[in-house]
Amino acid sequence: MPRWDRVKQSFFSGEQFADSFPRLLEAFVLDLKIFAWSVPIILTFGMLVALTRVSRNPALFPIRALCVIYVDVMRGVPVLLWIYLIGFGIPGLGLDRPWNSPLLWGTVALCLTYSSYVSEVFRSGIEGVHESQRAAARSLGLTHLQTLRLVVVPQAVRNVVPPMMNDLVSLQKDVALVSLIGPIEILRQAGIDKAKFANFTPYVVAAVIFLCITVPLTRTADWLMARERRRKGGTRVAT
Amino acid sequence: MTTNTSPFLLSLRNVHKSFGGNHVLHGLSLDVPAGHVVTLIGASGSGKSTLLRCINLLEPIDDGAILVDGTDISSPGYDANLARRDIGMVFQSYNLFPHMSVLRNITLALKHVAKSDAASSKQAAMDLLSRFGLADKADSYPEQLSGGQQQRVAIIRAVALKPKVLLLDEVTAALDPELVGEVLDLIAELRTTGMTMVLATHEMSFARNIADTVCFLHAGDILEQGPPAEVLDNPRNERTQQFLARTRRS
Repeated sequence: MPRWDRVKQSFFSGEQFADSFPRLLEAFVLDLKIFAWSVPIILTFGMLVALTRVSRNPALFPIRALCVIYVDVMRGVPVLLWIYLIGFGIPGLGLDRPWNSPLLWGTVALCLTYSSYVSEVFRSGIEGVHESQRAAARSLGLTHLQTLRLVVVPQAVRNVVPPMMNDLVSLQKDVALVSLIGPIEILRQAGIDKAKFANFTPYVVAAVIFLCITVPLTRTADWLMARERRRKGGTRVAT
Repeated sequence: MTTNTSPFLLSLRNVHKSFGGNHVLHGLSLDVPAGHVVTLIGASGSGKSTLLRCINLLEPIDDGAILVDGTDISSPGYDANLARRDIGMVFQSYNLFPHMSVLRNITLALKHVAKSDAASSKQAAMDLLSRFGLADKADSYPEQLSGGQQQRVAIIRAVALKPKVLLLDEVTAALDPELVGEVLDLIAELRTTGMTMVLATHEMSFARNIADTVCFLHAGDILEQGPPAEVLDNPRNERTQQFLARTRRS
């Protein structure tokens, strides 16, 4: 590796690492904020879409159809493209502050795309609750809505915690895509540092900071999945 | 809404039910006086389970009427949730709610359907659990119980709402043989309290012991009905004879 020295200098400079780290950590707070705002919105909206899609009420057919189109369209386009389209498009309408903020609309784009992913996870969870559970609940005189709220949804949520964690890990990373339309979060700040010091180490710093969050999240998801398997799995086959 | 002029607690009048082109119930009629125990016997596919699910309105019937205390609960527009308060149902696969403790399984409908307050729901549930020897399982989750215990909890859950009639659909069919007895004992005890029951079963000796009336179902209709001694020992219908001969052989 004849050029290792130069790579080492431009990617793994200890001095540059120490200099960028606090700045990037500070910028990372914005990533965490976007993540924290998005998660409750995504979970709520995703659940609403899922509940609409599994409803059997004929009167809800038009809304059900809209939900299908929404999920197909959002899932079928890369997240980055939605961030560009919504994040540049809507502020382009010339709205007044604070409605012209790319940060706002970038976050909206994230919420809209991830809600569609999450709604599918919830939907599979709801459909995974056995029909006999509904029969038992209805036979006790619970209404359709009570059955959903008390019997079906709690079991569905429990079933989908592990795959949901995986989606949230992806979301945590995809928050950085919002940087591409302007807000100065960690990836953007790393780019600024790189340009300023002509050194790539800030990117490595950003990667390390991301890993500090995503690795524990992933491990937790794996652990939850393993626990779920043990709970449901019965006796393990040796080989 | 008709008034209560019927001497029967539960009456089925000419009930028809099809699934697609499959005509499962063929104009079936049955009268159950209060306090009676009716057992439904017959081969798999004869319509026993479908009949019970129809009585509980889990399946809408295509034609005919289902009267509880003289009220046609199958008429369009009748509130199924209201009807189901009077009709308890227990399933072959227990169907306890796995995310709730035994106690919550029982209090759920007391709170949300009967609208009892938390304290009296809990009291009622604990009374029943104690009476049937399951008080120590109140805080257990269904997966921690044996099949027999789960099924007993499921029966208690249905009985807790004080239904007028209890439907039991092959409630021992999924159990290990050594666990069948405890469930049958519970049902026998319910009988002594005067609970009206309609139960589908493969347990012929149990059907004989507990039933006031045995009904033999074949191809979606009742071919023969009467006291156990008549239907099980001296069946008149040829198909009943064949069915009983087969069950004795196995």
